[in-house]
Formats: sequence, structure tokens, C-alpha cells
Amino acid sequence: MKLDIILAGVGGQGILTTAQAITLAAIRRGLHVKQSEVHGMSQRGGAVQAHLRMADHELYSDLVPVGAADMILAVEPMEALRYVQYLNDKGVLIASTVPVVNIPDYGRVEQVLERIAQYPRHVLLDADRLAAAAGSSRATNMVVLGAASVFIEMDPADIEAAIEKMFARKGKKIIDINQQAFSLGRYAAGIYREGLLRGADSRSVRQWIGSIPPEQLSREQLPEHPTANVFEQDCDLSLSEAEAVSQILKGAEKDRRIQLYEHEVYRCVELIGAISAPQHVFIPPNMQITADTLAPFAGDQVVLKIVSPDIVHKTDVGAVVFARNEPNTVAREIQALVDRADKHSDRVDGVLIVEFVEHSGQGFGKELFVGIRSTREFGPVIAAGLGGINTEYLSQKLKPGLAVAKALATDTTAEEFFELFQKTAAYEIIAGRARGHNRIAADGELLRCFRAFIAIARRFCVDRGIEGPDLRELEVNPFAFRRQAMVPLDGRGQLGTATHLPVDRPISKIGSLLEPQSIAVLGVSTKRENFGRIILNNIQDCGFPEEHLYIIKDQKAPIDGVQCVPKISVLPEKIDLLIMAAPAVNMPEFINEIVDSEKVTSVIIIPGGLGEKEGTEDIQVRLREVIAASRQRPDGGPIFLGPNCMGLHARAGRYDTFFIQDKKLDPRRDAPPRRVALISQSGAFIITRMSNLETLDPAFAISIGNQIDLTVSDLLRATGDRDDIDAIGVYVEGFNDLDGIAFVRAVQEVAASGKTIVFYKAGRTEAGRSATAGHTASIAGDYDICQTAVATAGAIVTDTFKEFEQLMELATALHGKKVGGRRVGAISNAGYETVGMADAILGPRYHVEIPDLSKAATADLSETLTKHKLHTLVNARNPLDVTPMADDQAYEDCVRVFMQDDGLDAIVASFVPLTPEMRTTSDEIGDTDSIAHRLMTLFRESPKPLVVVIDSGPTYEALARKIRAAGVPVFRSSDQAIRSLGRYLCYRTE
Amino acid sequence: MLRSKSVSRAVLGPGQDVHEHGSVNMSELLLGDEAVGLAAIDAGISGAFSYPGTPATEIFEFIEARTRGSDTIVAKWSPNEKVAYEEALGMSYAGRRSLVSMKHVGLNVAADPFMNSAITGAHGALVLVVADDPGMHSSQNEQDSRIYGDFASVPMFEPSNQQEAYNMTREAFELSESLGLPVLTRLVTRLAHSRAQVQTAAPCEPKEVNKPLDYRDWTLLPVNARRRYRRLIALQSKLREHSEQSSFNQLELKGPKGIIASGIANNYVREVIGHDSTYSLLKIGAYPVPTRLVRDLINHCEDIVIFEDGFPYIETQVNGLFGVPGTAIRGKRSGLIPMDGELSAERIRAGLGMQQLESLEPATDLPGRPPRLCDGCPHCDTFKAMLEAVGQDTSPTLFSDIGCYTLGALPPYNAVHSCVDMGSSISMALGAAKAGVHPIVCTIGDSTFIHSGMTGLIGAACEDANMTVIILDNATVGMTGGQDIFVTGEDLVRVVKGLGVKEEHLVVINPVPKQHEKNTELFRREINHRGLSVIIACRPCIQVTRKIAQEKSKAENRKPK
Repeated sequence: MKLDIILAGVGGQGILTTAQAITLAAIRRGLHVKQSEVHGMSQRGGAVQAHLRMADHELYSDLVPVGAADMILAVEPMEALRYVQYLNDKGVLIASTVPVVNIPDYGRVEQVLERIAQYPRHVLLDADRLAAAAGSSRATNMVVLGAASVFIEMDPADIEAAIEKMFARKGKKIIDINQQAFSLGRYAAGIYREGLLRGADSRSVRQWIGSIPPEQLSREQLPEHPTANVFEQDCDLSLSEAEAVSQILKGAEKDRRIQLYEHEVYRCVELIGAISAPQHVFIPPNMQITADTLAPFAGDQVVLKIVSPDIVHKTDVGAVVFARNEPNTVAREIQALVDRADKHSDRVDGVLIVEFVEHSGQGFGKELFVGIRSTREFGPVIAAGLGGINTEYLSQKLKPGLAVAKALATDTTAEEFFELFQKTAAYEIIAGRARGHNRIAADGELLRCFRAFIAIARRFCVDRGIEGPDLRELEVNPFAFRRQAMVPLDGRGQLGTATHLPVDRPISKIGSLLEPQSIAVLGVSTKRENFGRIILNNIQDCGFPEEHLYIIKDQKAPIDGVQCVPKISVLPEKIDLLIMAAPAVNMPEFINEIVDSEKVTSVIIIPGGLGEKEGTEDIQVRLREVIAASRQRPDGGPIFLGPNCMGLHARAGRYDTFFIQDKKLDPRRDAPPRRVALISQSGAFIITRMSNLETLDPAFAISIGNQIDLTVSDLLRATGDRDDIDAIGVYVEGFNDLDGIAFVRAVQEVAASGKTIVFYKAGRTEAGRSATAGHTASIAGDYDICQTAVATAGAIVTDTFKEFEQLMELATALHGKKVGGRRVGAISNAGYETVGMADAILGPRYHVEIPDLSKAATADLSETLTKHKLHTLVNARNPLDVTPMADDQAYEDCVRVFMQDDGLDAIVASFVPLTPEMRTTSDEIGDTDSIAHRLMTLFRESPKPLVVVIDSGPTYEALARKIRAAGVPVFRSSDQAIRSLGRYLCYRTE
Repeated sequence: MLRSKSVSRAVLGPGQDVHEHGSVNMSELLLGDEAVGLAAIDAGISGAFSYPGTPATEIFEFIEARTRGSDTIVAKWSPNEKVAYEEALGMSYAGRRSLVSMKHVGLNVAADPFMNSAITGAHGALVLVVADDPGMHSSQNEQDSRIYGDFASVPMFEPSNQQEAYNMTREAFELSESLGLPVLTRLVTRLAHSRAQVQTAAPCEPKEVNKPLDYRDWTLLPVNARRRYRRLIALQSKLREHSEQSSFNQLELKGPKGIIASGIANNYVREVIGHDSTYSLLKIGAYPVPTRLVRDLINHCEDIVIFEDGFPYIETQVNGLFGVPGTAIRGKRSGLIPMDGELSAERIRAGLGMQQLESLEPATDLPGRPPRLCDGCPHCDTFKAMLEAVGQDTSPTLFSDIGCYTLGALPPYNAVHSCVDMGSSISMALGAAKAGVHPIVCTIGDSTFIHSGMTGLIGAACEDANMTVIILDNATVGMTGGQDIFVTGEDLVRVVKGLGVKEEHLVVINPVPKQHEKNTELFRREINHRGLSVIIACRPCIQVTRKIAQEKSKAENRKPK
């Protein structure tokens, strides 16, 4: 951490006082400080400047070098400009707008202000007005200091304490005035920055602030607390910060500890400017407690905590006590504490004396939890939410996302995470939005804290190689709040070895897997219909050109007309795809040949049991070794899909390795491929979905199996890159090492290109949560992280298989439709359906409206109803119950009116087919003016989404299938249709 | 000048606690000046002597504030630096430790006793602290006090930071006593006026009065002086050995590019090179220049750049007349670094041939904001009346002196034609009068008059020289923050009278706007008088008046109601 400030103004404006306040606060935090004052003729109205430097490392020059200042703090606008050359490229300019005109050629002040406003990071405040409001026109310097504090990564309470100390001799009134001026400056600056961020210009924001009565700027009155921290810096640690944290981790490692001590955790977060920890002193065993030891502690009480790597939940075993701030008492309590702790632990390293923190009370929402940890699938993650001893309980009981915000630390900025956090119950309470609560923490404090944790996570919760131990987990629970600042009351950390990033696959070769120009099959039986033989026949049936189709088998005679080649190495051409259908036990003889012959670009390994069944572990190990070795080659070697997979049903690639008989699953070989792909770790999942959605006809259905090489993220990226795919459905049970994060990034890219990803994650009950694991793991487990991160990245995350199917259907059918909003028009010929649909408009992950029809549409509808003589029965409104009296034509006409209403974004057309008025039986549905054909036409013509619902039994299966085969989404229950359509519309409009 | 003195004192409570990882260290946040002052107190001084002058003023003020009410340490301003030095020397002769501090040009005034004290030697430790002003932030020249130290052949220290300012001053006292020589500590403005945390060491008790056995050492009759001078010469090898061994001189031999940096220049160098191992660095903080260390550096490097704030003193010594064969030694004298102004990280970068940091365009078109006389300053009224009385058509010669009123040189007054050294206005006026110039008016402040103006006035009075002297009696040393002065008001009138000024041409006026016409008339009369006139414009400084009013209202508030 380093902060270089130039303070400027005109003699007599209190520049040096301002410098002193920051300096004292910096010293309180143990920073190195240099403060250079230009004395000279300072009270004679001349320009005055001071240089203030602070850092967590030794400082040399007393002067801020030109181009290095992080801030110019000026009590006079022209003086702010005088030193701009000192600013670095992220520097901030803070100035009062009130000029001191004691020179003849000052010019117009508004011109000076406009020049300042051109700097992207600046604050301009009428400091005189705010100072007067605080009680003294002399306190302008404190107003400007308050504004500056927004950008100073320091607890504002520390600066306020410094102000108190500086003015102590002048009495309470002067202290109050100056602190109030500071506070007004701080709040006004927050408002100013927010105004600019919203796009307003400096002048109008200043006018706006000028219109707010100063008393409303005080913290109690302020309706919306300004975002205090507007440091738009990235979440990276400086070298010195990283080094300091690293030293702490190395210290623990050297000490043969996995657990970090509480004060080490404090130190970590404190070092990078996140928070100021309470005053604390580590007392090693047998250290005498004297008045000097307790000198740093103010107040009547101190807190004593055991420091032991074995004791994690200290309060549970009485390892925390409060004691009177007096040497004898403290010594006695420490002894008792150590005696007690010895029963629970083999190793008591000492005791931490901690300042007793008076904070904003305990209870629901008054404490905050923030933690980071390293995960195998997703790398570093961050979580924050309701803290205290109820953390886990609340996170289980509250709706997802309400108790805890969680995100990938590598891919989330502090600002983005803060946005997530703002949706939690914790934020509602902290921000004072819940009834009966006042705001207890400044947004800037939260942001600063998140930034610190994210920065540490990015740097340390990753595989650092030989650099040092990695951080498995670091968390503070709870943070309490004191004067809107965050104060950690307990913290823990654990060292570990983070997951190593695997070698990249040459995924450009996936093209040859998806659309091979040549294929060889290994494991074809001459005698029986084994997997190899079925696959061969399927490929033939797909119309794959036989001149580029080979069987690897040592025999002369072709099989089913396909030529045999004895070995891979003697294939007449380099082939795109080798399909290994031979049993696992036969594999070893081919493994080396595949790679060494350089004849193969991609491989599908069908058999399972590799590494799972006894005797096959060696094969798996060898396969991995061979793949790893081939990656060293210039071309990266072949890519492998599987093992334990069904391979691909590649309509667009003219081949099919799904060894399912046609009578079990109609392969619909003649149907053209639709613009959709399915990727699944489970073969059975994929064929079940294909069976249910029998006319989905995906261009690619990919069963990925055990991901020995290619991973789910590779395949998502490869299919997402294709021009012939609009929607991708993904089913995952588990990710390879760090493939979760690669997947999230792939989702982000694919979603950004306008494609829809529908996602289902299996594996919700996570095993392996040890009793000593911290809160972060228990409230932000891998499943939770996966759901949140994938959804945030832009996929539709589904909770049930049915939902997955329905959203796949919608995503495929509605991709080309225009989605302008979430206003749904609902039509049915059954009253219960219109009621049911209206009931379903709000769900946990979606919200739609069923609005009134526009005037024009209502008139049209009335006319239509009159025309069909339904007007006596039917009210012209949305949702519309056309009654069983409506026939095919009347129904169609009503739907058409809905479609033409600009106030509706999507239409759900539901009908109970049992009504005698409609032609719905299997012998009627062939008629071109039956309801089925009418709806198919409407769908084709409609630029907006149209969804059909047919709630009925097997008799009407043919009707449903007919409509669906035309690409129209068909649901079998109307409330379900609203739910899934609701999720889809929300997805499209968010 | 008036600094925000009240602030610094309020803040500087003893014992800033810095707490880190269980250890409790005592340290204070101090200006470089204050670090020197605290070191002197901790070294057990019995007296501190000074005359105010930026940037040295705070050394004395710190001691004065910290020891107020003390019966063991005397801290009183002196009428001028020569007197201050002599007081300190006298205290040293009594066996007690003393500190004398001043700005660089003050040493010109005190040069006589300083030079000779090197020959007499010190008994109790005598430390002279001089604050130089490279860049002339508030001075009339940039002279480098190290030349004086060299001239007098005494040991010197040049701290690079506040901690060293403390440590070196402590050591200066020990060294002074062990060698029986005064020791010079040299500060520069930037260090004097910059704060950082300083760790202090255990204080010493003041010494008892302990008169030496032989007074002949102090009586610089040729017979004694020759003996004492030989002693001083003989001591030089010891001084050199001390500085070779001193921990304040540090040689880091690394890469082939050599740097010598003295005092504060080290900070800028460190700021710029960090721990870059291509550079070998000799840091000099104790003088005489450590020749062995310099030789080691020269033997190690082919190319040496010397950075020092002030004159190219080390550079001149190292290069001599002819340089060192085979080694390029560059610095200010060679033209690599500008001779004038203070050093900065930017100058170091330029000197080492490094790129400057990227920075925004400076706003060069802003109007300057020079210091000016305060609103309501009595000097303004005096100048107005004087200018009106003398009239531009007479092309008057307006000698002036050093103080706030020198700002009268700027528009709208343009009432100051000279500012050379303390007290010079009267003597220069006398010279000009002898050359036959008329009218001659000189303005001089009360404190400057006491400092060095009186002697000149005696001469002028004796001759009844045709000139007008205006003594601006504002009852304080305004320029440096409002220190007390020795005589003001009626006392000052008596002093002037005592110097031989005729009563009928000694006039006291009250420079207020209401009296403008009357004062102008008076000025006119005295300026037209062919002979010496002295006008005392007597009204307290507006800042002092304000301060007194504030204190009075505070005192009233404290009264029980």
C-alpha cells in the first residue's frame, strides 16, 4: 500500500492541519509516513503546498516525485491545478470550488472549475457552504479532507480520531465542528462521484448538491448512503502487499502450522488496506503482563483469546474471555484460559489480547461474514453474507442468494461482487433498508473489504508453485461495525496446496471430431452385433462416405462393405477420427500406436471401466501419460473424448456412435439438423432427453464421459463457436481440475455471442466437508458456487430434468423470435387454465406480467368475439377465457389479436382439446384448417414467442407431436408453460 | 513567517505509540528541525541559543516549547546569531552542553566566533546546527554551510532523514566533548520542514558547571592561538579516521555505476534506484569526506555521479583540479546537474540518464500567487505614507532590509530597492549619502535593527548623514512566526536616542489609515530635512494583535461564570 498526496491551498487555509490529520491516522495504522511542509511566508496569502507520503514500506524521498501522486487535495480550486503534473494516471483531484481571489489576474472561477472537471477522477465541492453548515467557516479544510477520505484507503474513524486528537485542546465544540465538516465533505463527495458516475456533468451535480440542505447530508438523515469508495482500481495486490502477505504464510509454514492465527489473518487483510483491525497484542507463553503490555488498550475491558492451531471454534470451548483492563486480572485470566485450553489442544502457542470493540450491536444481520477459499473445480472463490454463529444456519434456511453472495474471485471485480452482495439480506440490514434498522456500514467500506479479499484470493488461493504455501481458506467471521466501519472480531485461515492448472488441450482439433472427413472404427466384430458393429452400421446409415471409412482389423475381407486395415499405422490416409469401441482390456496395444503413428487427429474412447474396474488402473495411467507426452509435440498430439461415453450423435457431421437400436430411439436420420447441441457427461441422460424431445434433432449430441482429455468446457467452447448452433444444453456431474472456471468463462463467451445455454448440474450433496472446515466451504460449497457462477456468466440454470427439457425446447424454438419484455398474453378455452396461468406469474427465479390489453386490442377482440358470437359469454381481456364454445377459427382469431397487441411480448395459447368445437383427434389433425395447422401457421408468422399448451391424456399425444414437429414449443400443462416461459423471458431480457 | 504553530504543538504530545505485533515502540512524529531539538534536549543541554530564521526557527522553538518552565535548560532568543553563538560558546566553557542553531546566512553573522571557536576548542559539548536553503525558499542565497565547516576544520554531520537528524545530533554532542571541538550539523530546508517518525534513545542528564583549569586556551593571543591552531591541525587525522569509521558513511559496492550521495540526496537516490544492483552507492553523512571509502568506490567503478544538495563540495574535493584518471566523475560542477535549486527525484533521474515518470502536462498558464503583506498590516500604511511623501519624481533611493516588509518590493508598493543582509539598509544608506544621493529613505524592521542595524546607525548619527531611517516597530519578528523581540515602543525610542540620534528628528508615528495625511506630512518634512532623521512607525503586527485577542477571549471564556 502506498499513498502520495499533494495538499495545496493559500496560506491560512489550514493545509498543514489537514496533512496532520491524515498523518496521525496513518501512524495509527502503523504506516511509514513522510510529511513535507513548505513553510516560508505561509500566512501572507501565497500558494502553500505540503507533500504527504505514506506506505507500508520504508519511504525515502520527502517529496512526492512528479508523476507519482495519487491525490491532490486543494482547499482552493486554482491551487489544485497548480500541481497537476504531480498526479499519476490514476490520480484524484479534490478541490473546493471557492476561490481565494487575492491576485489581479485570477480570471473566472467557473473556467478554473471546468478545467478541474475535465480530469476523470475529481471531486469539486463548495467547502465553504459545508463548513458553515458544520458550524465554522474556518473548517473548509476538514470538508475537503472528508471528500478526500473517500479515496483514502483508511478507516474514516481513524481520521476522525485524529481530528479529535488535534483539536483536543480547543474543546469539544471545536472537535465536533471539525468532525462534522469532515463528515459532510465525505458524504458530499460520495454523492458527487455517484452523480458523475450516473453521467451528469460536474456543474449540474454541484447544483444538485447545493440544493440538498446540509442537515440532510449528515449520516442519519441521508436516505441513500453514497458509495463511499470510488477507487476504480483493479483487484490486484501491489508487489509489496503481496510480499507482506506471503511472509505471513511462509511464517506459518515455517512454524509447521496449517492454520493461521487470528492476528495473522488480521494482518493479511489490514496490510492491503481492507480494514483496521482492533488493537491487539500477541502474548507468547510465559510473557509477563505489565502495564506497558496493556498500554495500547483503551477502555475498561480487553478480550483474551487462545492462540492454538487446534482450536478453531474458540467460543465453543471457552477459549475467549473478557477481562478487566488491568495487569493482574489479565495475567490471572490468561493463566485460567491456557489451563482450560490445554484440555482441548496439544498446542497452545499463546494468547491474543484484543481491544474490546464497542460495535453496532449483535443480532440478526449485525455481523458480517467474508471468506475466500481455493476450490478444485473453480479456483479461488469469495463469499460474504450474514455472519456470526448463525452463518451456516441462515445460509441453509434462507432462499439461495439471500443469505450469502458468492462468486469466482478471479472473474469478479469487487464492484460486481458488491452488486451481488446488495441482493442479500445481510446488505438490506447493513444498509438500513430493513425495517427497524439503521445503516451500520458504509458501502465504500464493504467494497474496500471485498476488494481486499478478492485481491488476496487471486494471488494466494491459487497454485503458486514453489513460491510458497497456497492459501486454502481465509475468512473473517464476524466483522462487526463501528461507526460505519468494519471491524473484524475473529478470523481464521488455512494453508494448503491449490489445484494445479492442467495443460491446455489442442481444442482447435475438435472440428475434426465434430465433422470428420475420415473415420476409422476399432473393435468391430465380424460375428455379432457388438458396439463396434452397431456404430459402424450407424455411420453407414448416416451416409458417411465409405471411401473414407475404415475398420482397424487384421483381415482382408471387408465387413459390411467397409475396408479393413490391420493397424492404425498403415491407414492409407491421416484420419480425422478414430472410434475405439474395443473393450478396455484390449486397449493397451493401441495406445502408443495412436499417438506414435501420427495418423489420428481425434479419438473417441467408448468403453467404460477404465480405471474403475480392477486391473484397468494401469491402462488409465498409461493413457494419461501418453496423452501428456503427446502434448509436447509441435501439433499437440491427438485429442481424446471419453472414456466411458457414447460418443457423438453428429447429425451435422454425418455420423453417429450412439449404439442404440433404431427401434428403441428413432434416429430420424432424414430430419435436417436443428441449431442445437447437447453436451452431457452421462450417455443415458442424453438419450433420455433425445427420446423425450424426439423432434429436437440436435446438430450434435455429445456424450463426454470421464473427460480423460477433452473437458466439458472444451466442448462447450467448440460447439458455441459454430455458426450452425443457437442453443446448447449441458449436463454436468463433475468438472476436471479448474475446468469449472474454464466452463464459466466459456459460458460467458458463448452467451455473449447471443447463444443460449441451458445448464443442469448434478451432485448437490457434497461429501467430504470436514468438521474443521471453515464457514466458507460450508456456505459456498462447490455446488453453490457452480450454480451461482454459471448463472451469473449467462446460462439458464435449471433445477429439474423437466425444466431442463422445457427450456431446451424453448431455447431452440424461440431463438429467432423477438423478446421485448416479460408481458405475457394468455388464452385458454378453460377457465381453470387462465386462473392457473395468472397464479404462476411469480416464481423464485422469474417474474412475468399478464397485463391488460391495449385499447385497440380490446376493441379488436370485442369485435372478434362478436363476430364469433362469443361476446355474451366472454370478456375481452387478458388472460382470455374463450370458453369451450370457441371453435378453431374463433380461437385462431383471438390468438391473432393478442399477437398484434404491442403491449404483449409473448403469447401462451392453451386449449383443452376435449371440446367438441375443436378438431383435435388424430383423424382431424391432418386437416389444414384444424387448430394444429392454424397454430403452426401462427407460430411461423409471429415475430414474438408463441407457446402452445395441450393439457390432456395420451389420446392427444399425436396432436402435441404434430405441432411440436413443426418446431413449435408444446407444453402439457399451462402453469408449467408460464414457469418455463417466464424463466426464458427473464433470461432473454436480463 | 507564521506557521501554524499551535497545530504542531497540539499534535506533538509526547509518546506517539506505534504498535505492531506485540511490541510497543516509543516514537514521535517530528520535523527534521524538531528531531534536532529533541536530540539536543536528550543529549542533556543546559542551553539553546538562536536567532529566528527559516528554515532553522523550529529547532529552537521546539526546545523552547518542550522545556518551558524547566530550571535546567535555558532557551532564549538572542539579538543575533553572533551573540547566540557566543552565548553557546560561553556555556561550553563552563563545561555544560549547549546548542546553537541558525539559518545558513546567520552563520555569516556568527562566522567570527565560529571560526575562532575551532581554535579555542569547546569544553562542554558545543553543537552548531545550520539549516541551509537550497532552492532559496525563503532566503537571499544558497550558500552551503559545509564550506564553513571545512573552513573552520571542524567535524560535520549531514543527516539524510529525521531519524538521522536525531541520531547525528546525539552523536555530535558526544564527539564535540571527546574531541574538545565544536561540531556542525547541516540540515537543508526539505529535511528541516518534513515530518517522519523518529525513534528516540535514552536521554542524558545535563552536566554540572565544570570550569577548566587553564584559561589560556581561550585567549587567542598569538602565543596561545598558534599553539591551539597546531592542535586543530593535529586533530585533523583523527577527524578523518572518525569519518572513515562512522556508521553514517556507508559504502555498498555492487554494480559498475557509482553514486556518491550526501545527506538528503540519498533519499532521492534511493527513491529512484530502489535496490537496483547495477549501482554502487557511497552515502556520506559524516565529514570530513571519508577518503578511503571514496577510493574504494572509485576503484570499483568507472563512472561516478555525485549528488549533493547545495554546492558541489564533495565533487570538488574528489575531483580536485585534475580529476581521477580513468574514472568519469560527474556532478554539479561538471554540469550534469544544475548548480542552483534543490535536488529532487527528477534531478536524480536526469543525472542517471533515466526516463522521467510519465506525468500530466503542468498547467503553466496559471497566474502566480506570490506571498503578500497581510490585510491590515501596519507596514502597508507606512509604505503608503512614505511613497506619497517622497514622490516618484524625486527618483528616491529606497534601501530596505530583511523581514516581512521586503514584500514591499512587489506591486502595488515597489517601495524596496535593496535587501542584502540583516541591517544592511542603514549602512548602505550611509554609503549612498556619502556619495551625495538624495533623497535616501531606508526601511528596517525592529528586530533587524536590533540584530545589526544599530551599529550602522551610530555611524550615521555621528555624521548626521543626509538620510531618513524608518524603523518599522511591529513589536515582533513577524517574518518567522512572531517571536518576541528585545525592545519595542518606548524602549526602542530610548535605544535610538542613546545611539546619538537628535531628538528633534526622532519621530514616532502610528501607521493607521486615519493618520495617513498627518503621517505623510511628517514623512515629507523629515525626508526634506538635510541630515539624519529617524521615524519609528509603531504599531503591532496584525497577526500578533489577532493572536493576543484570541488568547484574551479564550482566557475570558475560561473564567468561572
